[in-house]
Amino acid sequence: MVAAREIRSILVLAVFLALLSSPTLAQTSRPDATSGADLAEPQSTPAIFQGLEVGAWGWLSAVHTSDDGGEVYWSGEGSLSATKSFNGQFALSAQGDFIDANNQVRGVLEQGYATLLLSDHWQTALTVGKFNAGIGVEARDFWNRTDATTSLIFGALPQDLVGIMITQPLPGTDIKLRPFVAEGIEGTFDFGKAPSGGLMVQYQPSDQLNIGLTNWIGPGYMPANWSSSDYYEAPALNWVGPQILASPQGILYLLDANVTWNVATDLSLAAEFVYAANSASPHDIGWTGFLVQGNYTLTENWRLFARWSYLDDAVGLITSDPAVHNELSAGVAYSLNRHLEVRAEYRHDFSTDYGADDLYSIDLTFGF
Amino acid sequence: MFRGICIAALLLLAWLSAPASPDIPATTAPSTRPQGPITGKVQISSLWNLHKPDLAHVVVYLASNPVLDAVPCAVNAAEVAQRDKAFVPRFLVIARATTVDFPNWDHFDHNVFSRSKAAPAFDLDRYAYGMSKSRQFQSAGVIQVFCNIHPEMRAIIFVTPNPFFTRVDTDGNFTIPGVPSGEYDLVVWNDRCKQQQQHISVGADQTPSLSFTLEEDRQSILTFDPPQKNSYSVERGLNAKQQRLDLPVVQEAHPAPQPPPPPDSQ
Repeated sequence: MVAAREIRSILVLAVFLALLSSPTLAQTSRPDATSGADLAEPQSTPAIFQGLEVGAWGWLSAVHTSDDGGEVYWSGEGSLSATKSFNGQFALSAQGDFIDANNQVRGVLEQGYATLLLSDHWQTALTVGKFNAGIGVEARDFWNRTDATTSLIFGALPQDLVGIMITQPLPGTDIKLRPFVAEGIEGTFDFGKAPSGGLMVQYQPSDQLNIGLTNWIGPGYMPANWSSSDYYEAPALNWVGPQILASPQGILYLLDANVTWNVATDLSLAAEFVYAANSASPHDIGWTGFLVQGNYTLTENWRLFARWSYLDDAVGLITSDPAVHNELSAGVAYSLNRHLEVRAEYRHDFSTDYGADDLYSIDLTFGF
Repeated sequence: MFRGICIAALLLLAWLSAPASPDIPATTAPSTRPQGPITGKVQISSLWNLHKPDLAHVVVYLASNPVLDAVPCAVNAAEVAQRDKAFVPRFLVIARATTVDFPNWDHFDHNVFSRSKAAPAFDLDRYAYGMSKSRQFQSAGVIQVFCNIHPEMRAIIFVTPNPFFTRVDTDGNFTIPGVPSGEYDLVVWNDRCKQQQQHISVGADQTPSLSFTLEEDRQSILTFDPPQKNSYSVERGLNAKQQRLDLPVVQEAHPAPQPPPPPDSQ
């Protein structure tokens, strides 16, 4: 008998598939016309739709874990986004997500921001609002990621920024600077504390190589007296970002360095290192982690992926579990078309505290 | 009398040694006079795909040949529009020396650039709605075209060495009409397959009918039809360049040419 939460997740998927098949959203798909008639000037578009870009993606996931008596976690997520561009100089973007994570249903405004091209000549852009941080090699959203589950360090890095960021390419170089001021690493609307700040540096000399470096400084944390039930998701199921259960204290310094190397057209390798030092009495605390991952493309349909991630969560700020965690995962992805992909993954988690846990997951993603 | 007989004999000998018909050359050099068509059928054998292979990007053409390459192409202009954040069409086949116009019909800036050596590499910089830039392609080859503002946009322009080319229909059938008599190499190309080539003879009584089965090739797929890569999108909606190109920039823009009226208004 199918549980109610599974039916709900499937319904979420069905609703989004129906939405995506509607002509309004279908206009964002890529035409492949070859006839002369298709080259005619488009019909005049109402002003409200000019420069409007609508996107949608969804994800349905089942994770079987050997922990907790072999329970299966069902997750479904649907996302709608829209960007309205005003002559390419100013843009408003919003993204709303509907999430059903193992019977916990919620809707979130994942992104809502304005971007202004301050200087067309210097290509200076200002972004204000809540937006994806873009730190690290793992994309914020499931549809954009290359693996099924997130790594251990995904929850140890800021995934959403609430604040202001400037994007500035350095003329004559392949470097982009992104200084920012944000509310905190959890990406929430909690303005009752001092702001955080930092600088992202991106160096992309070619399509083959991308190097990123981010530093961060802001209010720190000290461990709180929590119980394991306070933390509602295991690390393997955390695709939201940091959810720190702690009290504010001291200053947090965070550093992330990552590199993505597209070795060949079929092979991509990535490595990332994160270090966080939290100056809090009576002694400094923090976390350290890294990941290495590879993607091997067999054809445009078939893809293999593998990853090892490590997180030394010394006082349990990230996972509520003071331990050294490791995760090894590997899987295969098949794209039915450019909009639909199925992923299967095996993952082995082991920590110095809880021991080992085996997970098997099947995921279906779609995006337009 | 004898001299008269000798002259007559020489004239007769000269007449007999002359070609029976000017349509049959004394050598194997091709004639530019049109002859019969080349017809055939192309199939694609797919190992990896679970769906029916798409024949839309199959090109059949005659390889470079001094006589064929000298034949002017009746159509020397083409268009790749930019609309709804896509190149339309995404696949274009033209003969060498054709000029391609790239009008922008989106209400925001676009860019067109290519790193392909056959183009050679160029950058049309940014231009707004209703404007266009042009590029003439002098060399045969495959030209991959991108937009530096919207990295998901891509197109392929296939430039043939002469006007003797065609694309297959939905069933894979093709016809290249008016091919002069001679011996040629016929090439079948698809962006997802290994190229195939066959030596053929075309004459007054020879109208080759050929059959090809292309095999999908992993390296071709990854080169010309790679999986989509996503990028950080906080600059979405802005005319922000994604990468430094350092390519020769074409500055001259002109108003986009008016498209032909729709068929029902003619």
